[in-house]
Amino acid sequence: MAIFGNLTEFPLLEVVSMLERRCGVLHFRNVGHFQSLDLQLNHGTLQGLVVNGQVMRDGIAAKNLLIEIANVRSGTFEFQRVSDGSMLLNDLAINIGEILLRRATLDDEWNCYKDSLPEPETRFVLATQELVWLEEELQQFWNQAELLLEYGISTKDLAQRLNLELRLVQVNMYKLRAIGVIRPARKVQEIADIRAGHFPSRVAIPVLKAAPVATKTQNKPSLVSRLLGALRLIGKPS
Amino acid sequence: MSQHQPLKIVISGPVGAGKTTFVQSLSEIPVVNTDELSTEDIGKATTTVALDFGLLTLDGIPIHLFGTPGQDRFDFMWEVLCEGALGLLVLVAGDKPQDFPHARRILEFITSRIPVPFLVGVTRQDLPRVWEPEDVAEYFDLTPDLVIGINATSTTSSLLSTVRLLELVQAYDPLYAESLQGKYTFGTV
Repeated sequence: MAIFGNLTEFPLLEVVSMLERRCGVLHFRNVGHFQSLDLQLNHGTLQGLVVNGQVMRDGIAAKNLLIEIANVRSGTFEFQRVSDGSMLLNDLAINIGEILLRRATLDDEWNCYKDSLPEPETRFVLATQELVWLEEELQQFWNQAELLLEYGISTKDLAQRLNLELRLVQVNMYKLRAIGVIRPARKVQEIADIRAGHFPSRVAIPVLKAAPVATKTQNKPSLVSRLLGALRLIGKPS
Repeated sequence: MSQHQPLKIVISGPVGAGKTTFVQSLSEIPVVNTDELSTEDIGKATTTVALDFGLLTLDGIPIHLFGTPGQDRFDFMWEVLCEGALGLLVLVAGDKPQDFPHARRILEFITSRIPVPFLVGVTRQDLPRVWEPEDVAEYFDLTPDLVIGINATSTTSSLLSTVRLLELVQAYDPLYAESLQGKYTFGTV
C-alpha cells in the first residue's frame, strides 16, 4: 500500500519517523523551491539524495538542504519501498531524524534568543585565544569559523562563506559570545590598534582601511580642543 | 579649508530613550523633526520616523545634531547617518531594561562597521528605580568610561555628555575632526 500525502498535513519530521524502519525512496514534489526531491532512505539513514534529477553527493550540502526543507509545509510526498538497501544510492550516511530534530531545536533556540540576537551585519572578532570546552555541534561550527573570525566578519557574511543557514549561524554566534569566545568588533579600536602596530596574531598585513588622519602638525589647538573649550564655557554658570 | 565647515554628532537609541529631547535641549534652533502619530503601540503618541535635526554652534563651528528613528524598521538610516560623524551617542532609558538588547544591537551594528567614537547615555537618571551607568556598562560589555548617566531634559546634563563624547573623540585621535572636514558637507554651498 502506498504511503503518500501532503506536507500541509504531515510535517516532514513525522513522515521520516514513520519510515524509520523501512527502506525505499521518498519522492517529494514542489517542496519549497525544489520541483523534485528524492530521499533514498534505509532504516532512518539518508543514503542518497536526488535534487531536480541531479544526485547530490556533498554531505554538508545535503544536511543544509534537509534543514532548509524541515519546516516547509507545502508539497506532496510518496514513498516507494525497495526490498533491498543495496538498490539505493550509497553516497551519504546521514541520520535524517537527528538532522530534523536539530532543526526543531534550532527553531526553539532562535525563538528564545531572537530579541537578543545582534543584527546579521554586525561584525564579530575573537575575544580570546584560550580554548574553552564547546558542545560537539558548536565545536564543529567553531572549527569552520575561527580563522574568519580572527579577521573580523559579520554573521551574514559568515553564513554565506560557510554555506550555512543564517539562523544557525546567529544562534551559534550568540552562544560563542555568551561564553566569551567572540565579541563585537569596534572599528575605532581596530584602527587605533593598527596605528599602534598591534595586528591580529595571524594577520601579517593590515586588512582594515584606517580612517584618514590629518597629519599636518599645527601649533594652534585642534578642532576638538576648540569645541571642548567652547562647550565648557557654555556649561559654566554666568 | 574652511574651519567653519559643519561637523555632525549622531544620537541613536530605542524608542522613548530621549533622543528628540536631547537634541531639543542642546539645539539653538527649533528642532526640525519628522514626528508622526504612532501606528503601533510604542508607549507614546508620536515617534520620529526619519530624523531629528538640531544645531549647536561651538567656537563658530556648526555642529549638526542628528537624532535617528528608534524603531527597527528604520534601521537602514543608522549607517547612512553615522558615515562621517564626529561621534555617536546611543541613548537608552535606564528604567526600561527591556530596551537594552535593542540599544546594544544598534550600538554594535554601527560601531562594528563604522569607525566612529561613541558614548552610551543612560537617561531618566532622576527616577527612583533606574539602572546605573556602570551596570549598563556591564550589560553592554563596555568599560565604565564609555557609559554616562544623562537627564536629557536638562541642558547642563546634555552639555556634560557632549563634553564627555568629545573627550573620547580627542583620546581616539586629537585631529579626528580635521580629518572629517570636507567629508561631511550637508548644508554647505
